Amino acid sequence: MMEGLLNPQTFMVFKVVVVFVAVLTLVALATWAERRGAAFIQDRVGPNRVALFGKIRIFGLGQPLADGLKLFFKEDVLPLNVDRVLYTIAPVISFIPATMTFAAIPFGKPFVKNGIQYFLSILPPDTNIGVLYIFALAGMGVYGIIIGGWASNNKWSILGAMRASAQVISYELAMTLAVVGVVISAGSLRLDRIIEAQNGLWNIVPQFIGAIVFFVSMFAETNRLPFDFAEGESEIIGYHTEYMSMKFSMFFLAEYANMITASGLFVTLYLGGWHFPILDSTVIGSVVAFVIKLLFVLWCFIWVRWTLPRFRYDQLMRLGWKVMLPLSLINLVIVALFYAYGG
Amino acid sequence: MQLAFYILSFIAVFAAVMVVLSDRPIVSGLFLLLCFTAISGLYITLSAPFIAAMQLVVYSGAIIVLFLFVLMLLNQHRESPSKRNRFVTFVSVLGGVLIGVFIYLTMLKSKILLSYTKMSAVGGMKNNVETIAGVMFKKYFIPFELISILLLAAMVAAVFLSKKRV
Repeated sequence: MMEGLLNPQTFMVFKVVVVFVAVLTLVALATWAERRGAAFIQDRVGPNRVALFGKIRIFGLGQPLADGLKLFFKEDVLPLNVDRVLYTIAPVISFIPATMTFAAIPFGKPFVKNGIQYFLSILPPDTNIGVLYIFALAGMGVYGIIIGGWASNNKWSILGAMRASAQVISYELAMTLAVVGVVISAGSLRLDRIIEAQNGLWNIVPQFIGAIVFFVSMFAETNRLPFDFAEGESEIIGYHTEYMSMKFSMFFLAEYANMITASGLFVTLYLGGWHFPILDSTVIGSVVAFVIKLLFVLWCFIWVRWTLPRFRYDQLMRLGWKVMLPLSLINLVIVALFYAYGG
Repeated sequence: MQLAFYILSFIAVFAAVMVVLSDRPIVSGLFLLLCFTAISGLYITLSAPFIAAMQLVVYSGAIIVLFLFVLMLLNQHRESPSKRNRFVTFVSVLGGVLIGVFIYLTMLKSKILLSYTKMSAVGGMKNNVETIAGVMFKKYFIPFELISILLLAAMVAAVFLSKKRV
């Protein structure tokens, strides 16, 4: 019965639904993993009290559900003198690109059935701009920060928005230049070609510098600790200070969705995508390999957050412009020279 | 595809008009962003995803952020209505309409209006990047490099001029 249903249209709908649900479920699981992971690293117990039907505790896995319900039913107050339209739009603007970017990432091996080629990414690979699609949309996310800070009509929110957006813009440059090295080595912007080119040797080995730059920039782009200036929960005030209830949780969901997309992109660009010895001989195995790698990089986000203290703002800017940008340029020149004369 | 063209072009024109009509600079900047984004959608209907992505990265991503930064630092919340002279507004609108009509008449004679015949679904987007690279780095290699040098010189000059002498 399932065989008869398999045609490009139903497969597309299936992919969109599955990816959307999977990413949002992973967001919920990531919040749980973050708190349990923090507790594990700091030798605490962490949230383990939320129980289903008052009985079944299962390591506090009900916590994200309870958090979601709490945020959903909280009172949504419109602060005085805010710009109503922009204040409401800002969380949406940061949420939409965050959920759209994952569409370009191939999460499994393409397969042929009844003479039709099926590929496991929402965006057709023929669109030919894979990497650029992600960067173009990820660049839109910064408007959520700017508009959110400005519309709140709060001086500290505006300052927080300026700080966060300056950080995102600065690190975008180093990140893009690091990715150009990968694009040169694959000879294509298409993410499926980039994965094919890594068959046998993952990019993280020959382009070690680029991978480090991308990895560090990834944290700055998603506003995660040690570059946590957007939120700055303990001492400085961030751009979403005036937000509450579902509007705040939209920003929150966007941050975690961005983390998942960034992990997926790192896996695709440097860790060989869905390639893995033995596992990638079947389609399901390749999806499993991709998910395992993605979860590992996602865990790195949590691991780093609870290991390193926050940078100071000038240190962040110095690292971005004086260390990361030159490093990515060096990586680019080395790769370009190698492929022009050595390869 | 025709429907997408009409919706996107309506958004683009509406946003462009609102850039001028809005009396708050930040809101004007955001309408400009909407206009640029709608135009990048128009590029997609013309099977040019590379140009569309570049439009988003360069115009929507970088340039508008720069505008908004400057506007936020100036902290000018509302343009005072007294600065708006009725006569100047009238003449500007008249001039804008005239220029628009002339551009439209010129375009009717050229082939640009026919570009909607090149519209196609996503499947027709092959070899976009390769074609552009071929044109830029083979056919127009020297002008392209000259423009990059010019831009670099302008950048160095801007940094030099804005730097404080100690």
